Amino acid sequence: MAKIDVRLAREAIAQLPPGTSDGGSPALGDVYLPRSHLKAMDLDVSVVTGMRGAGKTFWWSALQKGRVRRLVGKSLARARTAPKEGTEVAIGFGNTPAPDDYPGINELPRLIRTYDPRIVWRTVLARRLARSGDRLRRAAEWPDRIEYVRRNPAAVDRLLSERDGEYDREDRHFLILFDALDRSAYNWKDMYNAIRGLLQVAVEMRPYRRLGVKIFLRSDQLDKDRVANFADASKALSSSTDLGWPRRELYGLLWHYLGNGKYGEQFRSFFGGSWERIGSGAEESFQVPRELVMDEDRQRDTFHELSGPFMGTGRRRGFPYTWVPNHLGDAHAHVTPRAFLVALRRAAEATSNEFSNHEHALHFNGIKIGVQKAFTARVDEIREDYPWINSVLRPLEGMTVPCRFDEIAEHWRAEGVLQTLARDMEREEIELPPRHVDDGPRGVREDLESIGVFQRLLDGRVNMPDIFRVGYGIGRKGAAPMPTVRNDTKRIGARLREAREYLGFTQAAAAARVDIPPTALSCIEDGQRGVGGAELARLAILYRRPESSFTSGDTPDRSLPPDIARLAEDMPNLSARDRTELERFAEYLRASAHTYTPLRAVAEFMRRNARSRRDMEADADELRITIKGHVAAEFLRNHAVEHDFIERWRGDGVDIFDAIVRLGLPLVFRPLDGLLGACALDPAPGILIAAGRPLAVQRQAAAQELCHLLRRGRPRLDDESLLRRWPFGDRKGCGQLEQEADAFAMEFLIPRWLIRRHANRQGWSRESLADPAAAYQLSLRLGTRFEPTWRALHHHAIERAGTEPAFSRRLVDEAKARLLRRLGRRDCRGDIRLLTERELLPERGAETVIAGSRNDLLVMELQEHCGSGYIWGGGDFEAHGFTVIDDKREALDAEGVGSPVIRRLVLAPEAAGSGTLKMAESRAWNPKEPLNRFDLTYDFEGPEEAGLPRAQRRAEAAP
Amino acid sequence: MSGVRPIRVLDGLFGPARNQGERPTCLAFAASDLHAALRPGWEPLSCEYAFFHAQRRAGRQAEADRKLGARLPDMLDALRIDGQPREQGWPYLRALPANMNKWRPPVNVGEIFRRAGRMETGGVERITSMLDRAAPLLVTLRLSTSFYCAGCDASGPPGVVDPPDDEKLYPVVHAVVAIGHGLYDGRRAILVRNSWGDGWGNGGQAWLTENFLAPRIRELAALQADTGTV
Repeated sequence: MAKIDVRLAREAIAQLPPGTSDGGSPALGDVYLPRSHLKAMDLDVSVVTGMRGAGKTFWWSALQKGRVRRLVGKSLARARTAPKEGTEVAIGFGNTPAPDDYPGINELPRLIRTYDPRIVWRTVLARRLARSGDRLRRAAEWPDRIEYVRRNPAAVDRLLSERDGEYDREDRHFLILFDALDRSAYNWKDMYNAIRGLLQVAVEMRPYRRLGVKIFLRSDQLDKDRVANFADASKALSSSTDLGWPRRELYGLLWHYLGNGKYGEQFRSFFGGSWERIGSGAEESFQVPRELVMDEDRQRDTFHELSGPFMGTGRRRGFPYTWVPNHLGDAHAHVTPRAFLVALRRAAEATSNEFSNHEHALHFNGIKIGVQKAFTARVDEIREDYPWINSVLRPLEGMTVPCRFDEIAEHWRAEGVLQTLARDMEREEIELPPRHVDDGPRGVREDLESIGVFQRLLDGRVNMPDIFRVGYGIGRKGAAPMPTVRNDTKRIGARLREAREYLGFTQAAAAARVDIPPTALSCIEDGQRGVGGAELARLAILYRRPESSFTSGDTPDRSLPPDIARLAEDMPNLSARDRTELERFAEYLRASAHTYTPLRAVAEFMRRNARSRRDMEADADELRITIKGHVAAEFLRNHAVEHDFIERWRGDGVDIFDAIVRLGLPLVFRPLDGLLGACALDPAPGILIAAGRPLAVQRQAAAQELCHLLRRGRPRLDDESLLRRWPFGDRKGCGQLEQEADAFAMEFLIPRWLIRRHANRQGWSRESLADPAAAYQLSLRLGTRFEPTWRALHHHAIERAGTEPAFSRRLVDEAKARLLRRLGRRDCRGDIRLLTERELLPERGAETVIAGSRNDLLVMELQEHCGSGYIWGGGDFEAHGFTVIDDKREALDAEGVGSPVIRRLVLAPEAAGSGTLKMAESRAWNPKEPLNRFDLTYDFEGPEEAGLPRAQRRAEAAP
Repeated sequence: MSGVRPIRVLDGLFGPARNQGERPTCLAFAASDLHAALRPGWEPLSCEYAFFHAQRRAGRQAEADRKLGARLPDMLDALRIDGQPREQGWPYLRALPANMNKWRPPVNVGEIFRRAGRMETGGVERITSMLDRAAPLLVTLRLSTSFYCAGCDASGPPGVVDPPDDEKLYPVVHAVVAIGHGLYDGRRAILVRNSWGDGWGNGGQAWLTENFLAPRIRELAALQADTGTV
């Protein structure tokens, strides 16, 4: 990395722009395009949401500028309808007055109350499209125009249709933009009506090929129960997108401003990469190379060059790269670019004033001062959007959070906050009060939660993010006692919430399953509303508990079964959380036993093996034979084949979670500290696995616990030592039952036939499998850890090739490092999945499935017949949430004319997700006749999180 | 064609564009078509035969070589020494046989036509001067994105390749026949005949601007007098 002069860097940071838009026209150099914002620019996306400061007004204004549209159009994926320089952009509503184009903020609220809001917006649209001399153009007043549109629907349709045709012939688009809709009405009801009417117009516009609508909304304005309760609303909302600012995009924005500022040249060389230059002269701009945004490790190292590595003299205080956004986040962890830029600007100023000789551009104490200043800026921002916020937060000054909500409600009561709000509303001093003020303090709490000011902790207490807490003089403290349940409604609500969260269902998913709005479920869980009989019955089925477990006044039985309790006693390091989770698991097994019906074969199997255990204990050799021949083989026969796994094999591994679910056994993932897995037989059989651990670890633990359960050994509590045990490894101190479980897990997850299939598909010989790089790739496809895969390979295949079955952790590190060197990269936090043409192309399998996490890199190496005109394309990586980190071609043959090349694509998932990439090698003018094609189904959801297995949860929550 | 002013075009010497499919045989097609154009009338010659002998001369007929293209000197040797029959003498194969040992010419391919050629030096200037003397040229060149579409995506006029200056080159060398020159928007441009079927460019031909061609040219070759038949 090139160095940058400290003082120069400090000066540049101190001159950062404000990062907010007042609706004025931005220069091209101000335009930075985060990936999620790019999607929002698609002409087919009608609704764009974002919190205050996310960039709604910025884009509203920027899209009016031809050069910006050209930049956006250039960056948008081909599959999307991009705005172009020639796109005609009109304003349907916004902060800038234009009484001829749309009613102003003084007139619109009145019109919205008087007329059907849909007709009002249709009038705005139609008038904008009307030709001069048209009746709509001639009418002088908005009421006259609206009346005309109301009375002449067919004429307006004809106008729209004709204009659509004209634009189509000219190969142009018309786009009308709406922003600042909080100014459209005096109260929430009217505003919702206004937005609802506008969404209706957006839906009506969808059939037109060339006429587009784009509506910028604050997230809380899109209350779907109120604005989308009309037929076809989903059509407008299905393509809606949110203007998010993930951390890497905030730093991307910082790079952009620094790379385009006074010392842009020095910064661009400091940041590295190839910056594309667009425009010229005053309108010149350099675009941040995408890899500088996607590679967070590099971003962190770069920022730490400016800030120093720590937020103090040592690592204990945290790292500036994460510290700054973490402290600027609201309760949803959203950071506005403005707060981020203010914090850094002020940090640079403070460093100049107080630590001018510091070795870095920013001093950590300067950063702290800057962040404090940003708090004030953010409070000012939220106050502008929600003028009532002072009335409800000022009375809390001097309190400390987290605290029980009752304490807050008490403060509000004592100060008469709600009465004051009501009075101000009456006097119309507050135009848009808290949306749920009519529901009393809990309604206001809900509103504060929805705008990210309050955060509800798992135990129900209220916390506040620093960014608002500090500004209102509210303190912070440690733990406080749990709130007590006061009555039935509250108790039932709390139990429903707990049951839902235990299984990992979101409020939205659960509400959809039982067919009630999410807000209703939220009210039920908060105890603000009772739950109906039918609702309770449906929720009980989803949460796998009897209805009585919610309604009964009894405390749930969370006692540990005696044998588990003994095991827990014997684990001196068992944390309090793990113990609590064991108790909750026991309680869940008790409550849910009636909803699980293990296959008859399972019970039979357990019975048969229990009988033979004594015999096996007598003979360890026989035990081993029994393990391999009996348990695993029978299991595979009964289940893997039954599931059609072998026939429908798509290059993946055995799905152990699916197998457990299909056996009819409970499997739950929970956050655990030291425990990795547990299985219980009493009060009912079930398996508990640590949530959030790497998927391969979770799979191994689940397989081993399943064996313990099936073999009816004893209940088990397993910690990390489970990972060290593996057949053919160090067996010291390993009991027969452990050996058996370990062997079962291996036989089940890494069976010989599956190794053979992968080897055939990849073209791996016995010798090439002795290379740790191939074993590493095999482990990624099987979804198993490297060590067991390596050991199993040696046992099954390589040993006979005469190589040493040695294992060292370095093997996998070296295999990864070799791959990274080949890709010319420094680091990858996750795994690197190398997919070759041999694996991907249809003659070897119609479809390939890969699973991993969002930290992984996906590398495709494809032969490309580019000397014959064929190029690999498709994929639509951006729409699938992948960033193309590298796209290179390498010659296969330096001498021949027309030889094919190797195309290497390196993709990074931007977020957890799943889907299917469709790629084809075809000629540009004849995409319908590809030479090669493949579908790659990916699942980068990562490890299982708390609750039921993800697939089961999805299936059960499906309406 | 909009924006192009032809100065000298020899497309009358050639028949309809041919299609090499997925095989790395562009050089065989370019050489064969150039050869056929220099003979009276239009009668396509066997690319398979020319490609086979060029690869045989280079020792590139092993299993591992099946993906590889031919080299220009070997192709010129093949045309000069081994010659080539008419297309129907050994029709073009869509794919090489699974067993490379079975890839050999039929026993009776019919009359063989030979023609000596030579490597030329120079760039666009040399091409235009040769074309002015009614001599089409074989050109090998590096490719980049805009060549593949040749205006098919409406980024420019159809049949014109005129990319931005910084377009990245692919590590592949391709062969075409230069069959005309003219001006595109007042700048020099060369009309080439490709072997990717008639869907490419304008019926299989496209104008390459000097801006595109100059930095990409690798080798030039011309065919000389007829060396007779067997």
